[in-house]
Amino acid sequence: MIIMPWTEKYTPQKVSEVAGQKKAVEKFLFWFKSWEPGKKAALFFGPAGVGKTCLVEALVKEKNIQIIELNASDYRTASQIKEVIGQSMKQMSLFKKSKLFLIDEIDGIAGREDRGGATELIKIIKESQHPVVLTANNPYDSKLRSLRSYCQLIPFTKVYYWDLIKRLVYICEKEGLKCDKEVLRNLAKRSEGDLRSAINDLESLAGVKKEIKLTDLEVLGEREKETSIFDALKMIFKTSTALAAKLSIQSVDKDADEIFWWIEQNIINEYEKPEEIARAYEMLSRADLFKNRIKINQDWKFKKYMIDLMTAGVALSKKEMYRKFSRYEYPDKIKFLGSTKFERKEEKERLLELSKQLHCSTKKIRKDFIPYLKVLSQ
Amino acid sequence: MENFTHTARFILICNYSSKIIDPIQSRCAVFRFKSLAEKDMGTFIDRIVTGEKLKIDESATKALTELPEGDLRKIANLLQASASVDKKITGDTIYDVASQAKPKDVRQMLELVLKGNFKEARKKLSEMILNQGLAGEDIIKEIHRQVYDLDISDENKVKLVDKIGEYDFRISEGGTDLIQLEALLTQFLLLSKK
Repeated sequence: MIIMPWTEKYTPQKVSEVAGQKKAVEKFLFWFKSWEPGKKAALFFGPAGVGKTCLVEALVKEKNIQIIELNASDYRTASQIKEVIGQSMKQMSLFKKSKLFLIDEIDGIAGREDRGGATELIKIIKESQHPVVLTANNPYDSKLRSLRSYCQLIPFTKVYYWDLIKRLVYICEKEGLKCDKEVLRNLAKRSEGDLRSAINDLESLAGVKKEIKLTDLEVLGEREKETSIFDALKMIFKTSTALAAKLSIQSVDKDADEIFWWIEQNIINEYEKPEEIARAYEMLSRADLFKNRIKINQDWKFKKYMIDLMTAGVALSKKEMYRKFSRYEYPDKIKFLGSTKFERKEEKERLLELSKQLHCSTKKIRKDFIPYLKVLSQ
Repeated sequence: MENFTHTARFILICNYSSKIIDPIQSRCAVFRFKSLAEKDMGTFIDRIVTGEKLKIDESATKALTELPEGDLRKIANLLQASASVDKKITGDTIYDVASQAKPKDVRQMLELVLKGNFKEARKKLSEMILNQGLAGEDIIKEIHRQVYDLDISDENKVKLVDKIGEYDFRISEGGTDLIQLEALLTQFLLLSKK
């Protein structure tokens, strides 16, 4: 007997079985019904494990359609894609009523630097006699920019908590598995809306047993025990013990650089006295120095000083604890970097190109050339 | 992975799960390996010691559980290297082989200087650098490790960490180990209780 992983065994057989995603299903069915050659492709996007591929596969099974599936991470270049889809897109299906193309994970496809994978996809969408469905995690990736205008975007959300529970309970019943309610709740919570990973976790918990108890959860690690950045900030700003402040960030799943900006953002949300704010920033300034020494010298031994100064240093900048509730904010700096990621990347590419042509550093180009070029182009 | 579920199972191993992209994580059951408890390291050390018929004292076991920070492979390597030096292994052998500053020495040095006895502390320091041949960076690493245990105010601990980092930087910029560490010790001297 072939043992099938549960994620496959319990994949939805009908569209109505897809967990959650009501809006996406509706949109998709509408698109599918009204589709005719030349129209836009459907682009499913959303986090991993929420049912993008499942929905297509369920529809195909239900309506007895032939599906031609390819994973864009495996077939990255134009010629590879053509090989699989090329002729097929103009022919009718031999055994089934109709045909559908599913191209999975197009984030993995190459943009222009890798021999026109995206361009080939656009060609296929335009010429195909059959509907095309694409899936992606992040459709706003710069590589997919041109592709996006040939697609109807269909967003998938995280699977809601209750939908997750429902599905897990269903699987337990089918498998004859006795499972503590608390375990299911825990699995649903830690999966953060990723149904596939929840099912995977359930399967590995079950193993060969027919009953799962709360204590079995331990093997899955302690993701739920991880402290959030907010707890760490609270610790740093409220404690007067150097060691406690230093240790507070140990189990935060963010790197020191990011935590640095979280602390920077929130000093003024906690401290009120000018001399304390000044001292805290002085500490950050020292931490920053070590942060850059890591970079310049490529020597990670400086990291411990950076961390100590930004945590213990900032913690001990206050005379005594503020007895108040402070709302900690997401760092502006990281928000800014996130929102300009695309532009910065483009600018960097342009600068690099110029630096090759003009034989000087990108810094120099930014400082000495760009201002003139701006005036010239006006 | 999905294409071959009928014929194969995959086990992926990584250091940080946060560095693995979601689409891959979502297709896996994630098992987290915790860093080992002291007890587990003890069992491992015992196994090697009995297997290799070594003699090892308590201070060595302690050094072996502290130095490699939970890395079993490092423990095995250290133990093997130490065994090739001497069949009787003590804590000192371990630190010598690992060429790490002995916590005991550093502790003594710091306590001396905090008592205001810079002269003796300086002697201790040159003993470590000149006689034991330790690198300044290794001594400074141990100093940093111990700051938090010292009997001084937390505010001063933070100040000292800043100084330690500064002198560590100067050493890597090419400063002379002995001079930089002496200068660092004088920063401790300023806090001595007279």
